[in-house]
Amino acid sequence: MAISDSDYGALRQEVFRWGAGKEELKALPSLPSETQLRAVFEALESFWETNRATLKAQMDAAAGFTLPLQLARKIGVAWLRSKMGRGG
Amino acid sequence: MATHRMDIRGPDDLLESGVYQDRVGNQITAAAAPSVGSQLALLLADGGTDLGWYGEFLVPKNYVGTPKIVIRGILDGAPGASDTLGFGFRKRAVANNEAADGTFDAEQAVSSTIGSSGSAHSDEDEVELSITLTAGDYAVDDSVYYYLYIDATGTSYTGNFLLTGAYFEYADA
Repeated sequence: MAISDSDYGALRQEVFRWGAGKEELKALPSLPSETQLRAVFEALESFWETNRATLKAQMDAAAGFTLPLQLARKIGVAWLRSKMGRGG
Repeated sequence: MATHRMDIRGPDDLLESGVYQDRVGNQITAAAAPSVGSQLALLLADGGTDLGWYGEFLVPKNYVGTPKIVIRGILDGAPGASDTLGFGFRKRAVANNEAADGTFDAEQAVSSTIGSSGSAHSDEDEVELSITLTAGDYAVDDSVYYYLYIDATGTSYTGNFLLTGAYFEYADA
């Protein structure tokens, strides 16, 4: 799923920060090209758009009630941060 | 005849969103201080669209011709073999009593292969690129209002470019 130039720019800037991906990018023999980097971002975008409704339904089913969307998002972000912080 | 380089950056430069000044040492793995890490640079990158700053300079009294814009800076990240780095320059050069406002002239640009299949620059190397300008567009004492930017069309390099200098190069009599 295509992303806009501004979304690409914002993501690229985010990843090129120390602690957010820069160490790993600088350790590569060469940086990925814009085409490669954009394709990675678009793969994430596609996965998210394809699966987010299913994920929300599974979270609601697990909770036994319909989670407010903002709460579900924040739980998801907290989980992702925790998981990635553990090297997951 | 001599060739001169005049710094065109100044305190009234307007940086586009996403462009900012930073210590070089915050971006690269700098050597022990004092080193280049303690310098201030302007952080530019190809964010999918052109990205740079707006500024203004005066054409010097001894200007005769052969104008160029010279960009100097440091690569932050190893370029791929065929990666390119490009800059664009758009301007409006006006004399006293001439209408200052108006759409800038068409882009003049440079794009260079900085990876191993071109100039073979490496991570944290110094880079110089030059944009050749049109001599007749400039006259002594003109105010040159300009937009200088990383040209998204001419750039495939995805790393940061730590700009340390931008100059108006010209020949005198």
